[in-house]
Amino acid sequence: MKKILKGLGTSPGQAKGKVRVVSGPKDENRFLDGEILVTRITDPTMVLMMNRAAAIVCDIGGMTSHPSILSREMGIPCVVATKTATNKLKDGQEVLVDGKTGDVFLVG
Amino acid sequence: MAKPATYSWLDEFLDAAENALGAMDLATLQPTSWRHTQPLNAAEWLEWFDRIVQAQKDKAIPFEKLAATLPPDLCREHLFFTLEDLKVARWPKEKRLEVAGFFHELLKAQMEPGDLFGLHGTTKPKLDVKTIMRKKFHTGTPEAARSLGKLFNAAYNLGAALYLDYYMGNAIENYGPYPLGGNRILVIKEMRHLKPLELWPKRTTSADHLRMYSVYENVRFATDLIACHSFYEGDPINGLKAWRLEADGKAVADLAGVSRIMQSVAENGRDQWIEVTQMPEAELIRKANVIRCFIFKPLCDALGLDWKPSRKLLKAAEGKTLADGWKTWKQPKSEKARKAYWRKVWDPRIDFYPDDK
Repeated sequence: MKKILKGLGTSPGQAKGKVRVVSGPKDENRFLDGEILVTRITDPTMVLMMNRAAAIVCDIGGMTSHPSILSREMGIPCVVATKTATNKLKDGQEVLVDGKTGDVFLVG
Repeated sequence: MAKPATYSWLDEFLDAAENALGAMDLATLQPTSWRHTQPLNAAEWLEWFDRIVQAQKDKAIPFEKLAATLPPDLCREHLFFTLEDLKVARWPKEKRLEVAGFFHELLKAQMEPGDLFGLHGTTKPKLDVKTIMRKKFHTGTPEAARSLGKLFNAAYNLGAALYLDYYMGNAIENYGPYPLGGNRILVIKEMRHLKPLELWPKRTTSADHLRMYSVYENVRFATDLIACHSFYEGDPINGLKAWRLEADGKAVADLAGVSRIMQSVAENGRDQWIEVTQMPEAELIRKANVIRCFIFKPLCDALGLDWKPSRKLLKAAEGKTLADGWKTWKQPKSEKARKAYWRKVWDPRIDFYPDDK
């Protein structure tokens, strides 16, 4: 596995899944259960995608940002403040997200 | 470090505010922040709000009777917001302390003593926990924990969409942790005012008020000054031992019921957010003012006052932009100086104003 990103881990746990870069409600129909939700910062148009995500990765954010609080509530890993997640990660890539260390690894 | 002899409730409040909000990246607040909207009419807001302070005083209504009209998180947050307004509008020290004291009294009247402002990780209004625990609970499972987490996610998002990111305390609050003995704690999640048709007539949310009770074992739970800022240590998925959900006062029978409510709340949140983010800037500013006043509706009702914003309040913000509001703040670039700047802006005892160096 190759580390591809480092951010701030704000909700512990590890999850593996395929990347889905999203920007708003238009992405809702193509988002699949168990995918890794990658975005600049989550917002309420992504609520149903967040509920189906295995983990969340954002470009910006902190411990009390929207994705961080809600990932802790749902018990899924979250990494924020990666700065470049939406640039570096591409749809379909298999990644492992570590919400404790803030690391994101490319799998395979 | 020992607290200085002169350490007062205001010092504790400022410590809690700094802890919760000092390092917050406002760029993550959407679609804007209070520091963009509130300075546009701080003086007019304070004039509107002072009616409440004076009415309580004139009518000598005890704070205990008013406490339920402004729950803990709203007292804390709106004290914080108002402290900034008091400096923007350059109200005199005596009036600043009077307004701050109003929020403090309202908070004291409803909280367990010891951690009024969340500095020590709790938000604990006085509740009869024994009576609550006599209610019927479902057995906690990982599946239940995830379903309840998704419902909370949905309600949180709807709250942010209804009241904007920074006033969402009107919808979402965590209470606890209440120790139950044997490494168990009770955490209560308030999700209320989810269908405010006076503000947003299009909403069709299936419930207006959700109350979730979670009993955890070997899990630590904390909040800060902002009661929706939740933190867990341990495993809240496997550590959920019992749960209960009430929708508009009625117990929800099973997880299928939880899921149905979640879907309605989530869809309303998504659609509401689209409505908010499509508003022209002037309309967004106006709506932020209406929302801020609406939060005080129960308090206004209890005091016999009109909750709606005055024409003067709305007019003061007309023709101004969010960027105009942000220009109010002259925060220094270095982190240390910035921290000191905000602390002085917030402190009502000090004659330091947003454009001071």
